Amino acid sequence: MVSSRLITSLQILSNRSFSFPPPLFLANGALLISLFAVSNAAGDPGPEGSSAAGAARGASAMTEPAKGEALANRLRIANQNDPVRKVGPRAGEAKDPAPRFTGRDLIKESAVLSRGSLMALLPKRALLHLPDSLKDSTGVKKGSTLVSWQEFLKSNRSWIRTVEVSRERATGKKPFSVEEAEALRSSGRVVVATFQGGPIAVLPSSFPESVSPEPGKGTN
Amino acid sequence: MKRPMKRLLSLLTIPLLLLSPESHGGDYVQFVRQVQMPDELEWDMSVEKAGNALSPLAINPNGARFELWAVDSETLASFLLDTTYVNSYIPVAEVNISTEDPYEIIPRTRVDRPFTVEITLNGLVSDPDAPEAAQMVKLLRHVQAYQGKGTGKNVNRGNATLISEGSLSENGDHSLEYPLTSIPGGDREKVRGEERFSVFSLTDENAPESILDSDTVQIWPMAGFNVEGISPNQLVEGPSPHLTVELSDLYPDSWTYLQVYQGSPSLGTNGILVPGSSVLVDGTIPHDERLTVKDLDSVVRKDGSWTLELVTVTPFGAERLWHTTFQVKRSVRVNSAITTVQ
Repeated sequence: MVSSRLITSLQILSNRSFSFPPPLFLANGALLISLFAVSNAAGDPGPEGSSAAGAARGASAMTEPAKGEALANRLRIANQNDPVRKVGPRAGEAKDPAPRFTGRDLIKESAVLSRGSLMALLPKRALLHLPDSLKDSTGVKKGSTLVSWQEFLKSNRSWIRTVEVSRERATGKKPFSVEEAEALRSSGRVVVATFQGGPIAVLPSSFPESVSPEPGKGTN
Repeated sequence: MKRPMKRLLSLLTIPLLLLSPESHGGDYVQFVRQVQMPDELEWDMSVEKAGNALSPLAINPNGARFELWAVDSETLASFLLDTTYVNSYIPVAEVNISTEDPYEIIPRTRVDRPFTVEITLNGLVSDPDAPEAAQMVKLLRHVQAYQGKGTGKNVNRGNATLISEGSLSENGDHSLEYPLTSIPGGDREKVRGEERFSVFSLTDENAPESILDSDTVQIWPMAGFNVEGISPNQLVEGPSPHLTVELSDLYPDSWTYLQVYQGSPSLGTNGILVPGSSVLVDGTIPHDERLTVKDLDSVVRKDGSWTLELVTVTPFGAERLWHTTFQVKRSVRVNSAITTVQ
């Protein structure tokens, strides 16, 4: 049975050369990202259907399982011969880098836009402008369902304005002018930076701060 | 010499256990978040459940990290399914763990069983003038115990313990053999948790140490049992006793049953299956079961010495968990004398 809900791995196909000095990537620097679904390995229940039962009852040699003390002895020996320690000396920084990649919470790392029964995630720095009047449209709403950015945008174009940016603009090499930024703010809508339709973070230096307070906002 | 090639990077599968249909029933929103170095600018690219997409955002010159996320649309639980860092001279790594269990969703095995970690490296260079990040990678081994009857759900993997680390500086295949898990725990039979092997790039001028690939093996405990209702060498003169069998931590792919045969215990004997004693588990987590067996009589019909065994069959073979012997004496012998009177 194939369970199409499961994506199991991300595969990246790229033109690469591994000589040194480093070569360039594809002419446009693009990577091909390939996603695969996998089958649910669960078979039909029943002794004949399961793989364990496939090791037919009574077939081959029956054994008795190892006991705790024997396992503890085996573990002691195994720990003394851990192959990881033998492949090569420790390298790099002393601090374990793994926690930076594990135990993360994407919701906390993202901005959430919500309206009605739908929500969408986007990089925090993709949210260029949030008018006071629409602040209720952010954050997780109980009972709402998360949908893709594209699906969310389809239903909420009336209060979201997207602005396509180049990579140079996102990285601050070609920042918005003050006038452009002001024009976007004056739209009265939530402004989201996108790259080819997907929300993209923009460095703060690329989007000048407002030079005038929003209507109704004092400066004191 | 330049060696242009198309590389297929196959990446981490750790969250699959969390996404198994048994543990989650909702739909997921999935996308790739591309993180551009060195500013860590993020770009979200929606992806289909399966297929290919071309990333139009150039990763040069500073490299990028690709993160494959799935978020439960109802609970908002987020899962980092896969991640890798890509840059011009950063090596390519692939980590795969294999066990004796043919389960395909995630590598899994039992606390007493061996597993193998296969690491394939490409792109490392031996030029001493190359950046260190191009010459070697870091190999890390983390372990994490599940508390109580934990199944891996809602485990904070940031709390995993780094128990050993090393480095690899040669391209090609590297195979690491482990006779059993090192997940901590006093009662070695009941340890459960996971081990993760990761390959990290070293710090370069654009990015900190970044994950290139990793794989996780899930470790389940050994089965426990308690059989009540019969004692060693018990004499059965009437109906056979009813048995109560409590089973715990049956392996996720297992068949456990009682069998009887005449004679003394002999490991490996193919006996008669006791009706009502068969438990088949075909899932993602260990299983507990309590059975009442009332029909021993249907298979124990002759007088004599009998052996009763509790057997479990798993991907690791058939194992006798417990056995006992009992005596059956049901025949009625009438001692009498017949006399006639004439």
